[in-house]
Amino acid sequence: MLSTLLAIAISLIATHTSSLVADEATIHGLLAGRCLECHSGNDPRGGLDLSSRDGLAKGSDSGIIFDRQSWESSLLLNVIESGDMPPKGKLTDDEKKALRDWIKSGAVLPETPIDRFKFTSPYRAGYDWWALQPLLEPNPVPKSNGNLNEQDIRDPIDLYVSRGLSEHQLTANPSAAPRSLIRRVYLDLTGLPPSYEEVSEFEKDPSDDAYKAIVERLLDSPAYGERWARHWLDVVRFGESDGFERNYPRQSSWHYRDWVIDALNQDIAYDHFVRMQIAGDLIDPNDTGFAAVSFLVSGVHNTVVGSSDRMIRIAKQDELEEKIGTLSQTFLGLTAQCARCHEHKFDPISSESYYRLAASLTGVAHGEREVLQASQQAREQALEKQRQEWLERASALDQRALARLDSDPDRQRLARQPGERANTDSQSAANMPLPIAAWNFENPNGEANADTLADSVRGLKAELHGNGLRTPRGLLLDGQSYLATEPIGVDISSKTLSAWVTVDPLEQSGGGIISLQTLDGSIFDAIVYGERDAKQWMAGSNGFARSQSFQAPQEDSPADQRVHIAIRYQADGTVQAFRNGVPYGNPYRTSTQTFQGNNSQFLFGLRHGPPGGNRFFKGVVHSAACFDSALSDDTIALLGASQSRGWDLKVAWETMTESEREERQELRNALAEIELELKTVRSQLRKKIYTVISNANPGPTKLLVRGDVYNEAHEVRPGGISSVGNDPNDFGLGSDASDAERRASLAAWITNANRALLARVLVNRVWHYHFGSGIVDTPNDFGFNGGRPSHPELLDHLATRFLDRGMKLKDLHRWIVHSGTYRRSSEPNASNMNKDSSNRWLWRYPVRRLDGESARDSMLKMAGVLNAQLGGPSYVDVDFRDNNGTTYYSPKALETEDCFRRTVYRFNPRCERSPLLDVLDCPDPSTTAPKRANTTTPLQALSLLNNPFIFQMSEALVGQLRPSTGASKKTDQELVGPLFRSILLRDPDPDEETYSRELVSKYGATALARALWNTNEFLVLE
Amino acid sequence: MNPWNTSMHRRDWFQWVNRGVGATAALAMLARDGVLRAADGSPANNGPARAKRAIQICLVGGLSHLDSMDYKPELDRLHGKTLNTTEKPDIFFGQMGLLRKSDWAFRPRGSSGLVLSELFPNIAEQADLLTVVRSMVTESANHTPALFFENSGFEFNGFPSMGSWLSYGLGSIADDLPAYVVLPDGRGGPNGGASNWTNGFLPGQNQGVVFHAGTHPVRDLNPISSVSQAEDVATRQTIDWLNRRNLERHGHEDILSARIQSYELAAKMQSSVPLVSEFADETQATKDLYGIDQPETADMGRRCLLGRRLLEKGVRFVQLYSGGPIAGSPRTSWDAHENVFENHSLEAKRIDQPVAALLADLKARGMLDDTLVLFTTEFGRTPFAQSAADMAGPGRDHNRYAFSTWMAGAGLRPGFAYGESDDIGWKVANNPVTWHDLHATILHLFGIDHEQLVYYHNGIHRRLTNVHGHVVHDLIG
Repeated sequence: MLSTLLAIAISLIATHTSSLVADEATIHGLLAGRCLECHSGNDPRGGLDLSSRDGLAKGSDSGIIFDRQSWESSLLLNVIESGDMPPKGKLTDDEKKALRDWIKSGAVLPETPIDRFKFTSPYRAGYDWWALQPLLEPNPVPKSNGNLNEQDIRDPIDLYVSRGLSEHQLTANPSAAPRSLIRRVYLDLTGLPPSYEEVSEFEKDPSDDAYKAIVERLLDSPAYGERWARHWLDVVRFGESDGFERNYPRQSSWHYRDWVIDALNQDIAYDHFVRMQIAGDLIDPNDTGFAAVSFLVSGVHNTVVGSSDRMIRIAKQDELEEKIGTLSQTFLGLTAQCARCHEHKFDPISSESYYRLAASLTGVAHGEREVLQASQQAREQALEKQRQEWLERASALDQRALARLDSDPDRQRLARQPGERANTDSQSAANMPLPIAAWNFENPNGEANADTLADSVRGLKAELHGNGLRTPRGLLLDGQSYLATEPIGVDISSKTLSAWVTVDPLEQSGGGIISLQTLDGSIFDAIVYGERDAKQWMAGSNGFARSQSFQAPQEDSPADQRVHIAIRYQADGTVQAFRNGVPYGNPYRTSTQTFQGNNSQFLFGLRHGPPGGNRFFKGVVHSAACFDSALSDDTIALLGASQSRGWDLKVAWETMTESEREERQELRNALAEIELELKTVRSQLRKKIYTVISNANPGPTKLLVRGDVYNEAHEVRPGGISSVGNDPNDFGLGSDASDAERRASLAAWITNANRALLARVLVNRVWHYHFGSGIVDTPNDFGFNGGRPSHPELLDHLATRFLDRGMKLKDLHRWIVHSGTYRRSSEPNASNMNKDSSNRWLWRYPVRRLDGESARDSMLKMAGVLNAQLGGPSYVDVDFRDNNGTTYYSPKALETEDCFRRTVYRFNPRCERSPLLDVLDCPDPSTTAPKRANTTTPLQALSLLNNPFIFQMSEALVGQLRPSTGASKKTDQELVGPLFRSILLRDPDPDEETYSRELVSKYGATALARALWNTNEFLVLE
Repeated sequence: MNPWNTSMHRRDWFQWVNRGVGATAALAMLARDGVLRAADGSPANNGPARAKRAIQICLVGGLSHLDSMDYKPELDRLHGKTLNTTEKPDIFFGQMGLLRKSDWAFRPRGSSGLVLSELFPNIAEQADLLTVVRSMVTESANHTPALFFENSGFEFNGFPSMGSWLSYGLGSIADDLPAYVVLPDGRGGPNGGASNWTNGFLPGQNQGVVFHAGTHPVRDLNPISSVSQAEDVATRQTIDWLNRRNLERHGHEDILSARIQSYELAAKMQSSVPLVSEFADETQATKDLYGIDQPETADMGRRCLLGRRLLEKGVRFVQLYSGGPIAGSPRTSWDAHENVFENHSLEAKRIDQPVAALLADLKARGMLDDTLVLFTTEFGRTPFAQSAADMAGPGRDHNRYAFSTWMAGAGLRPGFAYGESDDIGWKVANNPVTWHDLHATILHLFGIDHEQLVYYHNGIHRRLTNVHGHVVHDLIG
């Protein structure tokens, strides 16, 4: 036994470290495997450190244990030969002899302590472990092989498999019958069976081209993603409740499931798929990214930790172990979680590496957050853009009409409001004082741009911040942008601020239209919308020092109607507002504020600096002015009536031609419609996702000796596992690094440190699902305790090809399902069975029971009741009961129609599961399930016979085959054929027909449906 | 190199087809042994099996050892005094009141003189059958992790429970009943629900099967009511006929043979389960003994009697819960934060007579010799009250540092108490027993070396006892 193992170990070593002397490797391996676990490190057992020359020389607590001269009577030899050491798992005679020889020759040890991870030995894996090595250069495979016919070699895969077959004197099965093959590839790729018609068609034309077309169709269908996402969800222990005491349901974690389905359907590159799950929120900070990264938190979460410091610390460490274990097994096939309390006993993973991973993930917390939904955001932007275009067109129409009115004195009377005074005539206009500064933001040239924003009086230059635009209508502000001028140059005390403005939407608060402020924003007077009183105008000021409510009506101008607002600041402190030229609410008296010319500026769209909070305005500022005096009521009335008379659309309307009116009306209707739609879209703009809550400052991580939360050793910085690759395993981040920085580095490390391993693990998983068993039959564990590859060259061939072609899963599926190996018949063959009953060498396609999802989904599809809805919230087949904060789930007595969706969409709480799915080996999502059991039990038989779902489906199927109306209503006996075709995808033979007719004649067609769903033929994939 | 590659259905097959203790276990372990102990080939089993079956009464919420099995005269003396400590104890709510004496009187019982309180007067009469452990310790003072730990040796979801390990290792004695049956409290399941009897990563048939009250004890045991028995029989004949034709056409295939066999066993279960669940053949005297006609004891009485019947018919492990959900008012578990006297009086009344009856009945039937009875709780309660620091209030908080449990039957030392807590019952003073130790001991009683009953999962050969556990030989007679 030992010699075989050593031979294997040595051959592995020899591949990669040819200069090594075998003896040294043997002895070091033996010591590392059998002695150093106790006799090395900071606190060696019995005081004896056997890892270095000095340690041996120093001896143990009992004194000197080895002396070259009297080696034969040394304690070292004695305890080994007597069998006292090692205390557990006795040494073999070969091992004892090897150690004796070593002691005899002087018990030579290196100066620096033996690195226990250095060599693979019969006891553990070292740095030279096969899975960590670069991909093998493929050996040329003979093009033809005695055991395979030419037509069976369809892919290089077959050459590698054929070598194993011939080495074991096995004969490959011939190709499967078309009916088996099409059913196999349908269920395998999509988890759903073909219809009888699809089977018949393929039986008529079972050509390679026909098969190829089917494969492409299946890979393109959304059912592919639904099927393969389920496999992935097993591996990542995706569940929809917290587990532990409270087991609170997670109603928003299904976004992750949908993300996986989408990602697989889109066939995104696998390394990107991996990165997204570790750092999606950083790569793509919207719903997609946040959904992807919830991989990290889709496991259990203890929400009742208690009050003691110890329990809090332990819970934190347990949480980290859960994440590290899932992460390292899922992507690297390594069980890093085993190194929490000590160096990994079997693989080259140090505690240091474990805590580097812990430091990389320590800033990840569980939680629900509202996230911008990218698709809805794009839609909102498109709708808003359209709406602005229509508003521009409406504005242009109105302005054209009003301009016509201005040039027609006879009709000017129409423009007057009932209360408007007659003397607001051209003479008054001529006497109007010159403003300090004035802006007309309307850009008649049509293009939206940021040019020529200077005022027209002083030429004050201004800078536009954010995405604000100057459009034909004016300055379009999006609630995150503003315009700021250079210092004004003259002092201002009493004043009048005036602006034409469109408020859009009316529901906003705190935005400034025009503001006169000191350069640091600490003192300001401004026209402000809705800050204290909803939808009312206010004279905003620093700390409301000069602000009181005007107690005026709420603004109600629609988005296609501008209003004029003026606020007058008199020298005696009286502040009064005017809307469309007439007084707005009540004036009040307060103090006055003088603004120094060299330290003051104007702002538009921002109440005051610095930018942020609710200080931004949304809408359009058309024009504005500031006067350094308190204007008269008449002058203000004139300001509110002259130029852009947008406030009176009735007037504009009356001057319009018939065709203008028609266009204007259309625009009005279109605007009303689009605003309604926008309202809906905006309400869906954010969605709740159960995902990572990222800690900006997670702080330092300390190595915990023996995993003891109170035994902290040195600080460990974020990094990866040393033995995995040459990439920097220390991310170069300090203890002050944010979670974002840590995870970004981790995502890069995992996908780059050892791409051979990354690809091997994934390729093997895919193979596992296609064939029921992986090339390595422990898909989560490529370490010492895991399986060894049955076909190492095939594994590396596939990994190489996968990497070369951009890591696309669908390519991998194509290679596999087109191979001769995949297309073999599954028929048993006595001679092969004797040599290889477990089919390790793939002489046949393996026979397996359908997994629970495929069985249930098949029934739904056959019964014609499968709701094909893609994605969305999970269907719920359990009742929830909350008992003082703890949630209990119990299966509903009967599945309701809303449950008739694919099983991947089932709400999947931890603890109570589904009676039917349980007995069909669907795993508990409490922990990762890299492979499922495939059992056949009496309880399974009982559920398949008696679960109410089986009866529901039987009745639905019979109902579908025999519509209740119509002349051609079939008798029960006539349904025998259709039932066989629906469920077994074939016609009954005469005996079966006779036998079945007897059953249905007595008990009806549903009895036969129930029976057929319980046959091996339905339940088995072959 | 890959011994775990044995096809799963084959093992299931043997599990159900091979009868008798040890047959499947020996088989399963031989396979594993080839991996683990190839070098020295030490045997999988661990000497003769003293226990063939077990029944566990699982008290949820934390039974006060100080008020039941662990008499502390010192507490009587120190009642109302403060526990002089600067320690910040790892309890749940963190409120430390004054020390509090027991609310029940203790006295020596039977010929063994085992000291027990008046809390369980009927059980106390059986003192000479009991083996008490007064030095239990556990890791968590938090209910769900502590209950998981009690059941599976781990504080997390997803690890197989002891019953599942026994099912995996030994299978059922009969082939027409599941190996592991769970009977939850009529008031509801414990916190963590089915995770407490989960098979974890072991194959699905090792999950605890819940038997409910009423006409449908096991889910999916029978078809919906509209299906006549004749139709059911005819349908199943059709299935069998179709499967056998398939077998003829394609030749031998394990999975197909197993399927045919599984339907035969399912039919046997359908007739066995109702028989075992109905008490028609029990005498009125037996029913009275268990108290199934009295309102307080009806729920537990019925379950204890059902438990005995299941064991009799060949179920390997029966688990009864006393206590449902933890939270709530009034509490429906042993979690006596507010008032130990009120809570424990109520809970004890529900189970005392039935559990005592179970012991007496097993003894009378000669079953106690090879049946292990376990009476356990996830942790104990504090010697100080859960109240303001200057009060000896009526409630007690969780105590993970010391608590008690008792066992009976299966060759244990009867009328014997093992281990000690300190003078006030706050911490273990000598011979601490962890759950891993107790689990190791229980497996030992079943003839299994706890280090040998393993299952490969996620990089490690998992055990019920993790990497710990020592058999407490002193408990065994």
